[in-house]
Amino acid sequence: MRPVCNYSFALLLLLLPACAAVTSTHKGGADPAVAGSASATGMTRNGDRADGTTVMLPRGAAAHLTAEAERYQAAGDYIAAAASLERAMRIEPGNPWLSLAMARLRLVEGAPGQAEMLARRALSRAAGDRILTNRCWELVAQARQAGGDKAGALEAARMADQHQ
Amino acid sequence: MVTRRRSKAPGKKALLRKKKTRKNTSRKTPAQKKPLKKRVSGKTSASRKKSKKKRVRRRTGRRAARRPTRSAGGWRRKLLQRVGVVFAVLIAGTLLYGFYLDAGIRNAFVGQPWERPARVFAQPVELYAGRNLQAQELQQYLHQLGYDRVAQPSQPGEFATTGMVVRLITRSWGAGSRAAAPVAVEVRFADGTIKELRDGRGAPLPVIQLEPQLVGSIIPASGQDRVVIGADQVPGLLREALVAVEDRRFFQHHGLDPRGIARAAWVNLRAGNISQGGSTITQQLIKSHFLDNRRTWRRKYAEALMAVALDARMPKERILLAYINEIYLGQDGRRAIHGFDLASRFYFGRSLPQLEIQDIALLVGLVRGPSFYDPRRHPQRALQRRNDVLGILAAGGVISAEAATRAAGQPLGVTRQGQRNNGNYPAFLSVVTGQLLREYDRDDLTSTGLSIYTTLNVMLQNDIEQIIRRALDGLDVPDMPSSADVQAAAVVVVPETGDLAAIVGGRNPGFDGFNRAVTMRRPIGSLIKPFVFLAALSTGQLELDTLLSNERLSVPLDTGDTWEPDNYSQQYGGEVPAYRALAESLNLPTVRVGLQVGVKNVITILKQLGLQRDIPGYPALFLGAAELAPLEVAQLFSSLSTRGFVTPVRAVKEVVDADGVPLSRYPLTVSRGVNEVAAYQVIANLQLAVSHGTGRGLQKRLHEYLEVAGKTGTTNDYRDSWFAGFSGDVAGVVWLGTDDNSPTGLTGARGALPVWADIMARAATVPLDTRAPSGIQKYAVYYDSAGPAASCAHGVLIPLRADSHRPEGLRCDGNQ
Repeated sequence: MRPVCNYSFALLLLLLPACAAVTSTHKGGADPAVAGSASATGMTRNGDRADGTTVMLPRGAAAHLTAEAERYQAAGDYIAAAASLERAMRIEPGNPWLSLAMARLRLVEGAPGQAEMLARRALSRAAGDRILTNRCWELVAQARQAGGDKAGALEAARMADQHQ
Repeated sequence: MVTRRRSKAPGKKALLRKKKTRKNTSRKTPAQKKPLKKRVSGKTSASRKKSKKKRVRRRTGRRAARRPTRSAGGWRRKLLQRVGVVFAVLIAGTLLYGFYLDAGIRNAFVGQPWERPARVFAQPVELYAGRNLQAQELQQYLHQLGYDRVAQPSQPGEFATTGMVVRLITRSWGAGSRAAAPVAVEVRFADGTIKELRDGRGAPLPVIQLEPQLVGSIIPASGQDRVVIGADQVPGLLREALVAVEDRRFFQHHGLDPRGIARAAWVNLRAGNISQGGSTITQQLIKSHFLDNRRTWRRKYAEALMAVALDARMPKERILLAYINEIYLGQDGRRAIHGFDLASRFYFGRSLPQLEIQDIALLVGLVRGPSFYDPRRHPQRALQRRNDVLGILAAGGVISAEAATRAAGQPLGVTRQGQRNNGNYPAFLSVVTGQLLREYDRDDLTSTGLSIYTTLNVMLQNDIEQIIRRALDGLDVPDMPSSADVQAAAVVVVPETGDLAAIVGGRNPGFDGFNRAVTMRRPIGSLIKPFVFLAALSTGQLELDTLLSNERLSVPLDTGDTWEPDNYSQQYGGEVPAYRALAESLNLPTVRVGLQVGVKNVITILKQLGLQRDIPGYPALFLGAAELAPLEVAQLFSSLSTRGFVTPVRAVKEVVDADGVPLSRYPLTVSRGVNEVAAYQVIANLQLAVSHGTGRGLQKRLHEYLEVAGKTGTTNDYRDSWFAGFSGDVAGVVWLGTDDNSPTGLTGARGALPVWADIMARAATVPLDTRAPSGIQKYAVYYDSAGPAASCAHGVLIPLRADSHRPEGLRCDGNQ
C-alpha cells in the first residue's frame, strides 16, 4: 500500500510536463497556450483519442492541495488529508486523478470498499489514459486484496497489466 | 463509511451527555433554568402565604394585648417591642429568602449560562490563481464577511483596493490542529480571473481559504439566538456607554442603587410619565436571565435580593460582560436577538469590534425598548434616541463633544432586514437541520454551542437568488394574468463531492417559510425519461440507435381501465431512433421502452441513483407521474452526471463542539449506482437534447465552450415547468409553477430552461467531459434516420456499446 502512496506525488510531478497537450477541463486554463498546443496535436476540445490520451493532472492550487494531502496522509492525519483532497476536488471537479488520490487515502484508512469505488469512478473518466488506467486497476487490485477478494484482486491486477 | 459514521455517533452523543452532567455540577444548564424560575416564583408565593398567616395572628395578638394594659408608657414600649419583633422576623425572612435565591444564582454566570444555538458556517471561499473572480466580487464578499476597507491593511479583517489589486489580512478561524492563522494576501486580477496570489512578503501563495461566513444558527424553542463573546471582544466604548446610560453608579453600588431609584422617581415625577427606570445593570441582568416580565412586587422583591446577592458574588466586570451577552435587543420573526454581538450582526452586518461610535450608541439606546426604537421600523425615533445617547456620552465625558456631534451627523447605517449578511438562508438551513436531526437531538443543536461547517457556496447562492428574482419578475406567463403568483425552486450541487452548493425555496429566499426545493413534491414529467432509457440501456434491452414505433398505443391498467398516452406535439406514426425519442422527449416511444423494461426496473434504477423514497409503480411513471422534490431530482441528475457513481448530496461536512473538538464528519462517499457505459450513453443523449432536441434553447444562452447535458420537464396542462442537467462541474435543477397547482402555460423549455441557463452561466466553469469510457464505440449517423453518415464530419456521433456490432456503421471514435 505505502509505496503507491509515496510514489503518487512523485508521479504527478513527473507527468506534469506531459500535460501540455491535454484538453482543458478548467475554464481558468483555457488560455491560448493550452488551446494552441491542443490543436497542434490535432485534438478536439474534448479530446477523444483512441491512442492513449493523457488525462490532465491537477494543476496549480489543486496540485498544491494534493501534495498537502499526501503529506497529511504520510503523517497519519487522514481527516486533514481528506479535507485537502476535497478542496482540490472543488477546484478541479471531475479530475479522475483526485478520485484516485482519495481512493489511496481510503485504502490506508482501512476502507477498501470505498477505495475500490473511488478508483472505479476514476476509471470511468480515464478516457483511454494508459497510466491512469493502470494505476486505477492496481489500486482496485490492492483494495480487493485488502477486502479479502483474492480472485477479484487477480482479475484487477490482470487489467492493470494490460495497461502497462 | 455510513456504518463507520453510525458507530461514531453514539460516542459523540455520550460526549454531549457527559458534558451535560459535568455542567450539572459546575454551571447552570438551560434545562435547569426553567425549574429554577419555577422555584423562585413558587417559593415566593409560599412565603407570602406564610407571612399573611403570620400577620393575621399578629393582629389578633395585638388586640388581645391592648385590653389588659391601659398605661400609655407600657403601651408604647410593648408596641415598640412588637414592631421590633416584626422587623426581626422580616429581616430574618429576607435573609433566609436571600440565601435561598443566592443558592440559585451562585453558579449562574460561571462558564456558559446560556443556551447557545449551533452556528452554521458556509463553505470557505478559496482564492487561487486561475479562479474565475472579479475584483469587485471579492470586495463585495469581503464586505459581507465584515472586512473593513482601509488605506493600508494592518490587522486581520481589513482590506485595501488599488486598481486590480486587492490586499487583505485574513482572520484566524477554526480550532485545534487545523486552526488557520491570519495571513496577509495580495490578490491580482486580470480578465475576470485571479492572476496572481502573493503573501505579505511577495512570495507566491498557491491557495488561501478565507474564514467561512456565518450563515445562520439553529435556535431553541425559546427563540433566543445569541453570539456569546469574551471580555476581549467587547469594545471599551460599549462598556463605558452602557454604564453612562443605563447605570451611572454601577461601579459604586452593591447591586441596588437607591439614589438611582430616587433620581428616576424625581425625573418621572417632573416629566409626568415614566421616562427613566431605576433598575441597575445587575437588576436588569437578573430580570432578563431569571425572571419573567410580569411587573409584580414579588418579582421586584426577588430581583432586588438577587441583584444584591449577585453583586456580592461576582466582580463588576463579569456582571457587565454577562449583561452584554444576555440582553434582548431585537426580533427577527420568531428569532429573538440577544447579546450585543448578535445585535451588531443583525443590525449592521458586522461584528461588535467593527462598530463605529454612532453604531454603539444606537445599540445602547435600543436596550430601553428594542421594539419601540426599532431602527428599521421607526428610523426617526431610533435616530433621535441614538443622538440622545450620544449626548449623554458627551455629557458624561465618555466621548468628546466634537466626536458626539460628528457621530450624530451620521446616518443610521442599518442593513435592510433579510439582507444576506444577516445570515438569512432559511432554505439551506432547513436542509442542514434535517440532515443533523437524523443524528442529534434538537436540544444538542440549539443549546450546546456546536459549530456546523457546511457546503453552502455563499457567493453562488446570492447570485442564484438574484437570478431567480429577476427571471420571475420578467416572466411572461401565457395562462395567468401576471407572473406574481409564479413560484420557483432551484438546487445546485457539486456531483463530485455531493456538496449542496446552493438552494432556493421560493421567490422570496429570505422568507423562512415553505421550502419548495425540499418539502414540495411535484410530478417530474419528462425528467423521468432519461432514467427509463437508462434502465433499458443498462439491462441491454435497448441501443441508442434502436428504432422505436411512434404509433399510438393503449396500455391496459390493473384497474381495468386503459391508458392512452399522447405525444406533446400530437404527431404520431412511423419509427424514430431511440436517441431522438429521448432528445425530443417523445412520449409514445418512451412508454414502449418503459413497458419493455418494466416499471419495477425503472424504480430500481431511481433507487440505485440515490432516490430514498418509495414511488408508486404504475405505467404513468414512464411519463413522470412520480412526484419528487427538486432536491431529490438534483440527486438523480447528480448521480447520472458522475456516470452512475452515486455520491449522496450533503449539506453538512463537519460538526465541531464548543471546545473545537470534531464530533462527526460526513466525508464524501461513493457507491456504484448503474453501469457507467449506459450512464455515459444517456449523458450523450442529453447532450443531443441540447443540440437537437427540447433543450435547443440553451445554445443561444450558454457559451459554446460550456458543453452541458439537460432535459426539460412539463406536466399536464403546464402546471410544472422543469429543467435539470449538468456541466462538467455542477448539476442543477429548476422548477417553476404555482403553489395552488394552477396551470402557468409554461413548458419546461419556455419557463425553467432560461432560468437554468442563467444559473449555469454563473455556476458552471467546466464543460462536460465527453470522453468515452472503455466499452463504448462511437458511430456517425444522420440524426433523423440513424442511417450511417457519409463521413465522421457529417451527422451526429452516437455512442453504442462495444458489443453492439455495426458492420455497416461508420466508427468515429477519434473525433467529435
